[in-house]
Amino acid sequence: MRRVTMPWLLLSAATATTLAGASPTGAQQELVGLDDYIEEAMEDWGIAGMSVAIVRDGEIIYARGFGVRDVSTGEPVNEQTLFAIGSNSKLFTAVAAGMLVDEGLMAWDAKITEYLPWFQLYDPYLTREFTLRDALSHRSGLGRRGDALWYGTEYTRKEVIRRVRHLVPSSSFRSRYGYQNIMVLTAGEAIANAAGRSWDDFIDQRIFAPLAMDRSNTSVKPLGRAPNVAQPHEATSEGPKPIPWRDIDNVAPAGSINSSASEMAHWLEFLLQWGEYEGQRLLEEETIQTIMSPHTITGNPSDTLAPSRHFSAYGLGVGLSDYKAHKIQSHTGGIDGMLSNVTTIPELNVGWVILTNTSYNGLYTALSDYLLDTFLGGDRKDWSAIALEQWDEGQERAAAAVARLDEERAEGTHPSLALQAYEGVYTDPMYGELRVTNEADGLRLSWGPQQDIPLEHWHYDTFVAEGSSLAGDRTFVTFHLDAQAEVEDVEVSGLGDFQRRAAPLPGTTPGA
Amino acid sequence: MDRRIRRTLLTPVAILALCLASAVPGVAQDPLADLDRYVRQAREDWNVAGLAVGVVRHDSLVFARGFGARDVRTGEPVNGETLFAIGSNSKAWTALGLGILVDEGRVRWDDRVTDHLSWFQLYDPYVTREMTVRDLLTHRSGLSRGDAIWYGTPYDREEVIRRVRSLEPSWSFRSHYGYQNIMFITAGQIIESVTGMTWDRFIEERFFGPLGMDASVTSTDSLPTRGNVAQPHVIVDGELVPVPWRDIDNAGPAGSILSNVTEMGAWLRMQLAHGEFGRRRIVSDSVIEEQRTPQMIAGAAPDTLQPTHFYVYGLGIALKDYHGYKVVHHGGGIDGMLSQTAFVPELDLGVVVLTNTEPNNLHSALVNRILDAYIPGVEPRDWSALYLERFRRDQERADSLRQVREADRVPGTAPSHPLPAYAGTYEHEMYGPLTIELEQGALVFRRHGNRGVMVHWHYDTFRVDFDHPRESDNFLTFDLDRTGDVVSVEVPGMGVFQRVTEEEEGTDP
Repeated sequence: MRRVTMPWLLLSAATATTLAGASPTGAQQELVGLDDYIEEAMEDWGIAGMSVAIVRDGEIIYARGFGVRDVSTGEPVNEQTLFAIGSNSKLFTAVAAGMLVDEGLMAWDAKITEYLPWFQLYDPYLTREFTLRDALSHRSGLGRRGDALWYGTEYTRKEVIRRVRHLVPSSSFRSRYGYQNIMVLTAGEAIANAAGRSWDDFIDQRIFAPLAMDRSNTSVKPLGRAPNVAQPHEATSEGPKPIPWRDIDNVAPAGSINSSASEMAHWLEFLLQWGEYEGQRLLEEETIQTIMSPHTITGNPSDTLAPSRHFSAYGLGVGLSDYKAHKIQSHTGGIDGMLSNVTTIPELNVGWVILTNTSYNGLYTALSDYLLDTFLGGDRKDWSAIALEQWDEGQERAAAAVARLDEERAEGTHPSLALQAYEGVYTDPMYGELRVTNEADGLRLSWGPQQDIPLEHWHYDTFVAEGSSLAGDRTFVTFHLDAQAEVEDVEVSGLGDFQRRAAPLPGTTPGA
Repeated sequence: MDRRIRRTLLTPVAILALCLASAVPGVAQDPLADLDRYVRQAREDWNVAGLAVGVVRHDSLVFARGFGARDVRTGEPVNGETLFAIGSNSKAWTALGLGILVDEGRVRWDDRVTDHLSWFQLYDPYVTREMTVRDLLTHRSGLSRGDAIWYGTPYDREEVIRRVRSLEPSWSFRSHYGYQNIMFITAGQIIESVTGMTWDRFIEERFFGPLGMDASVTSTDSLPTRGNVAQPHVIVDGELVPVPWRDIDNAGPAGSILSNVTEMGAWLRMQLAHGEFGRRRIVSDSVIEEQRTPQMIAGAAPDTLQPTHFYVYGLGIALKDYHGYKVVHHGGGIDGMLSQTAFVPELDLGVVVLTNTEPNNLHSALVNRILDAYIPGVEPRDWSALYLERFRRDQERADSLRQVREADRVPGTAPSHPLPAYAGTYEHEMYGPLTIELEQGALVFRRHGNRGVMVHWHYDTFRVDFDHPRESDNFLTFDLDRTGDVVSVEVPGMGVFQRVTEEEEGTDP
């Protein structure tokens, strides 16, 4: 679908903002052809809009918007257009913590319970030992789970953290890398406690203000009033379709920052100047060195496409690897309809930001790979084409997995009990209440942000919630019976087991 | 600041031109051409008694030579067959030994240690429960060294492991890299527990035999019957002093292998052939890969001279990037013996340097020098000179610290008690007993055969000057209780030893 030329996109590319600038110089020779590459790749991926800035030696050498903010208005993206940077916010949180470390108000190895005395994890050893450094380096052992606690829920930041104590570790403490948004949120709340003001105010006053990131913010709430904002889009077979902005204030320190390519360029300068911006030191060099040093091994890159990469690790809010004999500092960000990339190569004093408003696309990382080859020299691969190929293969694998599930469906089975027997309230200490009701057209499930999802019978006592985003496209819901043939719990794929709340016995109701 | 935004013209032709530009390979030159001369000079500069260098390339030993003397007293020359201690380079063997058991389905890397050694226990119950085979091999237990449990003591391997349960963690579990020999001894005991064979026999049967390493051994016990053996030396006041071989059988799996550069060449060839040697498979490719997979961040690179960004530990072996290549390496050190091995799978290159003198950093310098010579586009640096300069600076710093220490000595104080009051036996739960006796008017310190004369420093602190030339002096401080009796002595690096009262001594069978 993405390889079909989309006329609307061609059109928008032609109207893309042209920036006034100097003619190409020898120093910028590498960037020759970049516009073309991006425009073609955007078309291949079906991306509505995109904004890119590149900084080298303290100067913005490239800043440009492509495509449109919103396919329904056709307004062009420029380098000032606001996008969600998603998880690229994590490095802001790490830098904020670093500023407090510089002031002696925090310490990397201080226990989180020093800042949040009520903080608790599943295992008491973890509760006792968990440090600020752990919170920022994805080594809690909780794995990439628990996101359903905040995504679309009404829970506050504090409530999300309180509830995560019920999350059973998926690996032994610090034994392996596991991306954990709620731990970064926890670091953000610890920062708020140490600084005596909200994480948002701290980021605004201590980072946005000195870096002249005047239009950047930490919430979708003021976006409605702001001019020049990109609308998130979902890639569909008919091209990008606008979708609403996602409010993620309750996990903000892990991903809620909105910014533009031109303002993120200031952030890149700050990172490349090791904590300095326009002659003003905002962070001690030693502190930013700590942030940019490996803390957790993230895997063993054995990528045949990039044989020069041997190490990949996570620092504090940033990913680290070696590529073509240089250290690469990089992170991606993604939230509904928004995908981004921030990459710096300190040894070359160069870095870039890539902001896009359509998901899924593979260009936000492929373009970064292309720029790595551009600046590091040697063989430059067509990374967008490679990513497209991988994406197609991934789609085929996913389709095969779905087909396999269909094949494994047992035919001719029925639910064990009459549908009304499945009705009831089911609870989980972490995810709260889940309600199953029996309507005229069958069972419906309601939980948190998802209300009245129709459940179709799959086989035996398993139902499927097709198309809901409860936990992936296809959520399986399996009821379990006890020895008395009563439904005792329900297992929701991706969330876990919810125990049925016992109906009060007749005559035992308090006050009766 | 100038913030002009620059844009460039779109020319697809330019992209093509960029893509087509590629490096022209340099003219091949023998990377070993100058090595002989370089090593000779460097050995003199460092005052190393003897050393041997081995280089493996494309599955053959392309260089195996000795330099200097096995023993400065005899002057007998070192050659490619001279036996040295490889020290901690043994750790990779223990890890791969477990790898063989992983191949056989008898051990898994993530098995809990207690699955195999039910009596294994560490200070914190969570750590006891969670500690895995992988943790044993990656220096992330949170325990700092505790080497005095085994070094020079009569405790056997199992007893050393039993005693380590009293070692309080220095860091939170897996939060910090902390070099840990006793965890490797534990790994060796797992081999014994699973196979019913000592670690030593396992290493002999599964590695030495198939690799044709007939001269290599896991213990110093057969050394007296062997001819071509290097004597350990320690530099004391600029002079090379021969010292006895150190028996470390009780820490064998952490460092007791003795070998020569020719036979180490076989080990390196097996590593570079992904577990095969002479068409025979010793260990699976997947175990070889697992061993060189990053497991634990080992901290910042040890020196800023190297073009290195990542310094991590695999399983019994260290890993780093160097000029864009992954280098698998390790060092080894025991009394008067220092060594270094390194191999670069991408270049099909392996290097080993064995020396019989402490201290020196010539082994690392030579490894770097040889790697440079083989890495395309790299001009070999004079690593010997670079490290020698740093080495001398470090020595000067140590000297100045010694002077600071002298200056901090409080003049004119006397011990609170007459010397006989300090004599007695003191006991540490983990490190065992030490005795202090009065001999010819002076206090004499003894712990497991390590003897030193105590010189009053100030108040109740004494400096111990050890007989062994390798031991640097230490400061012991006695503590009095409320009644004024000497009840304990604090030994830096170990902790507080409690005095054993006479009644207790009397009841001891």
